[in-house]
Amino acid sequence: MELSRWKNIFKKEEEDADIIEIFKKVPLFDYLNKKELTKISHIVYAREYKAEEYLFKEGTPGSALFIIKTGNVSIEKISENGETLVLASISEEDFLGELSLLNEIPRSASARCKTITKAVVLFKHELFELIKSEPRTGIKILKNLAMMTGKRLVSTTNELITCKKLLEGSNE
Amino acid sequence: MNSQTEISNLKKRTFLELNLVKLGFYIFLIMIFILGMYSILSLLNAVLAALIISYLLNPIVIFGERMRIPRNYVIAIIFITLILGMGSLIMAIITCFPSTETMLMWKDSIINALDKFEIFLTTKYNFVNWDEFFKRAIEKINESSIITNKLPALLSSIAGLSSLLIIIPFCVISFLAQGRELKKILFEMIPNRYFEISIITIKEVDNIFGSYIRGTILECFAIGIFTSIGFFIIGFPLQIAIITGGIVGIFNAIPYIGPLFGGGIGIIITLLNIIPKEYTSIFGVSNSILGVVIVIVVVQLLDNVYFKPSIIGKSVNLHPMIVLLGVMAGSNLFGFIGMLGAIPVIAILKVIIITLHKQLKGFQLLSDNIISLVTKEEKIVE
Repeated sequence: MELSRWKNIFKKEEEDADIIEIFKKVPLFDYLNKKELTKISHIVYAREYKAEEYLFKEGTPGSALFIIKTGNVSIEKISENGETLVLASISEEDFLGELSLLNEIPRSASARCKTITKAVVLFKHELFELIKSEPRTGIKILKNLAMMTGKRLVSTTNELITCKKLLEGSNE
Repeated sequence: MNSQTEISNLKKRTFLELNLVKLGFYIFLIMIFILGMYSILSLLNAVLAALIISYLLNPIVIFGERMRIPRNYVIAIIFITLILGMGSLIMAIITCFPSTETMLMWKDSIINALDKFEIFLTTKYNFVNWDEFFKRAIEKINESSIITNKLPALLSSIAGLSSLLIIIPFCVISFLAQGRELKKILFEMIPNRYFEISIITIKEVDNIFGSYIRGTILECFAIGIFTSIGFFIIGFPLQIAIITGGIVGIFNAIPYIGPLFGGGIGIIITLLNIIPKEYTSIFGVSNSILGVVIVIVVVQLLDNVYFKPSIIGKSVNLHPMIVLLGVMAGSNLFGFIGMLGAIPVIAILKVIIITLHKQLKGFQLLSDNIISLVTKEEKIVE
């Protein structure tokens, strides 16, 4: 009884520490020190989603990045004939929706939770306010973001090349 | 078989009990909330005022943080400046405030002017019973002079509001210091489906409305200072120039109508001959109305050409008709405060409606074709 009461009091701090631990494993926050991570932990929101719930839907205006704490999320897109295509599956310590931090284009796919999912949400305007007030931290995050986007672009290009080769092979 | 039904019955019962406990707990919470609200009802105005003040002061705290000053230090600096500023302002008002004798003199000159005006009206337009109207006006003026006679008593009753003077700063400090955490807790309570749209909408409304309201306050301040300087130049004594300039500045918050009111007040003051003759330097007594009009027009030009575009921008554009109707409705409902508050309230409603409509459409929560949306969702679930 006594112990649980104390646990409740420190729950908030524990949660913050939890979030920082997750941040340390996310490549987006590479090269950031503990102080900087603490600052970021103040501007993010902790959310919990049930299975089958959507983090976001295709076509909606995106303005937040989601970092998965626990759980599993599938990225889906509805094709022209109404079929649901699963593009990727994202699990713990990974993040999604990073493109919405960079531009104003609507979400290109939906994100649906496959299990109960705990996520940390970072909004674009909060990040940009942080960039203004803490330019050093901001530059590190933006650099990581650029590197991640570049890596994903390379892998997409590779996939495209494979697809093209397959297509050419089948044509022949 | 029998034991199975027993178990299912037991399950049903526990389910019911659990729900009852849940319901009871929520009712208990709501009761505590209502009781709390009821007990602080009289202080609600103070809390609301503190909320508005902290909303206006928050950008300073953010700016201070950007300058790498810890948040608590910024709040402390703001408070010390505010207390010193308020103190010196109150001192200035007290020293600027005319003595009881001058007030009585003003009263006499107002009544004199009204008498003259009444004679003028009754000789020209005798089909209206002006006597009744003027009697009431003079009664009002006499009443107000009672207040001026009891100025010290009035000041002490203001001091009696010290509980407010403690509560408001206390609430402002807490809102400034803990506002971010408080906001975060409130935001985290929003259901998942509406989370992203809520945050974006709140942020956008805050951006537009915040810059509008802060800009308006800055603009009123500038107008007040410039009008005071203008009135001083055309020959108002310093204290009257500051008081009238301040009033014109406050009235300027009401678009279109405000400047007219301000000019009216200036003209009334010149008409009342309360300005000693030795002060009227440039225009002379008879032409000082012209002086007032020129000051108001010049300041308005300055406002429209320089202040308004550079301070407020085009963040909130309201149609003149809506402004007029809103101001009238506000004054009908809440008097002078209503007149001042009408425009900000209409402005924030406009911003909320436009932003919410845009976001609801973006998040497909406001679709024309709701059936197609439902079938689309069903497909996704399948």
